Amino acid sequence: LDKGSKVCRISRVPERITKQLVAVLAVLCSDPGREWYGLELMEHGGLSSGTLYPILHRLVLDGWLVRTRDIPSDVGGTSRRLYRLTALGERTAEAMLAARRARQLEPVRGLRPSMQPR
Amino acid sequence: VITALFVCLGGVALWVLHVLRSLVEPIIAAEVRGTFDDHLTARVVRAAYRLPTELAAELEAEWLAELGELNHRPRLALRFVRGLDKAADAIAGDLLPGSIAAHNAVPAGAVEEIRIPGKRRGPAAIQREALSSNWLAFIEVAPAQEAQVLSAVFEGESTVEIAARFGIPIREVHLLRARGANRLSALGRPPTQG
Repeated sequence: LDKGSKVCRISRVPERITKQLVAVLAVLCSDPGREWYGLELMEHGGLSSGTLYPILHRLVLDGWLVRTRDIPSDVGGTSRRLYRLTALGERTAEAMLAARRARQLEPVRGLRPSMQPR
Repeated sequence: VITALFVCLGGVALWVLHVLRSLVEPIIAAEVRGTFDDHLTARVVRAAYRLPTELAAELEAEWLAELGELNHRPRLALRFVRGLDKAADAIAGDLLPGSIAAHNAVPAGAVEEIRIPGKRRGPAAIQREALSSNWLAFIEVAPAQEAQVLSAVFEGESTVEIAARFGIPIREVHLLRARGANRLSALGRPPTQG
């Protein structure tokens, strides 16, 4: 607690590690340097938009993911957004996936075979 | 002769139908397509409307752009749009934990109510400002700590600081959702606010 700056620092602990979160991380970790559109993550991860965007939002807030750049789209005044894992996100996600592999949990449902954690 | 006449008439009728179809079909298809696109766009806008203001415009633009990429995949477009209401609700509902997570920090003057059990009405509920437009955070103070906590409040300590010092968990309530459940009255906050 830093009283001088009137800011209380609260460390972030992941609330729940869901299969959907693991699916998104598995897709992102399959090519960590790559930038992904939300739609691509949705399709590769086998997730609905209703599940994907809250996860993306939370990962961005937690600093695991960054919105790298906006690509202007054909729809007037809008732009598609690209997401990429940060170094922190990559490290943590890899660790999380490795721990999951070590526990030999079942494959992620709905995820393409090539995207499954190996 | 009559048979030949009927065959000719049939041929003409078929030709007329073909011409009509080639004229009308694209119009109907375009109309249906336009209505469908309008419907999808309206659903995206409606979903974005459920978001907190600071996120609404940004996510609406992103979602509309992604929807634009699904121009030739109507089934996927419908599936995409269908999920957005759920996404918007989840993101909006995540606002408080999100704001903690986002900045890993809570502005000290931001948390806003101290509730002392047994004194749910009246001046014992000390309220300052909402954490955001939708969230009110508060702590509950046990009677044994009441005097110390009140004194800390009057010295200007924030609720976050008090919570940390006294080991009191910070709780939060969503103003709009709590309004129906009358929880705000229990917290001493007029239901008309927020």
